[in-house]
Amino acid sequence: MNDQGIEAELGKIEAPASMDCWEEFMNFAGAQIESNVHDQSRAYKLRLAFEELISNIIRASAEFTSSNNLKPVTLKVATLKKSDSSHDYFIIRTEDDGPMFDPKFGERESVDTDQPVHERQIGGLGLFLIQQSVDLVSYKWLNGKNTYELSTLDHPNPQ
Amino acid sequence: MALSIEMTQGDIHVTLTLSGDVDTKTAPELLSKLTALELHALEQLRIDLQGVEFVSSAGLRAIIFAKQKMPHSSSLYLVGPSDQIVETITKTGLAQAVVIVQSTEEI
Repeated sequence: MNDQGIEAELGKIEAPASMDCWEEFMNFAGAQIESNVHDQSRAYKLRLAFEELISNIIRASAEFTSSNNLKPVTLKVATLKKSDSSHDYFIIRTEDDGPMFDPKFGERESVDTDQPVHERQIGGLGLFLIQQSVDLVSYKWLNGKNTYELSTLDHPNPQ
Repeated sequence: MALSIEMTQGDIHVTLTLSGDVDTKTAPELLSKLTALELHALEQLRIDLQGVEFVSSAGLRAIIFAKQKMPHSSSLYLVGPSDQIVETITKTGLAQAVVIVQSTEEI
């Protein structure tokens, strides 16, 4: 995406990265997606990508804080509209102050979908589904925080 | 959305009828139900998804777990999943291990 585009924040929420706040994060994202992504299939996939991302962040944060006796990681979720010269995007951006984790989205090997299920490892599907479910996904370590962006092309409501 | 799971026992099969979302928060309930079954001896498992709107990777992992524990000759049917859920199942390669039907009449 062109970083020179116009960006507007639509909403945000901040809470501990904990399963206790799961509904809070999911309800916020669900309402924002429903209001701003009109294509049903894209809305479902964005929800799926967000669910997988939040799940990973909360799990990593819980492991980190419990093993180091630290205060809970804070997770901020914001939604944005961004327009560049050719596209409009709806974006969910997360920032967390947990340990740095770069999933290297651009370099990840795809899940071997031909592998027989009896030989499958239980795991590894979440990051794969994030990549597969949105138009753009990015990671940056910014101001001491993991910063992820899930972007989906925004199509006007055909009705 | 919360998940409810109803279990019914047939002659050669067990049916789990799900209603709600199968996500990170609720998938452990499905896994718990599956773990309680005698999966290694089960001929046929039907997971009815007609009342399910959303399945994340946590739900898929529970289904993979069940299939891995069942005999090779057994069948795992997913009944009535939505188009979006079928797309996720297909994308992850799980479609090769399960039988997707729209209703139990097709079994």
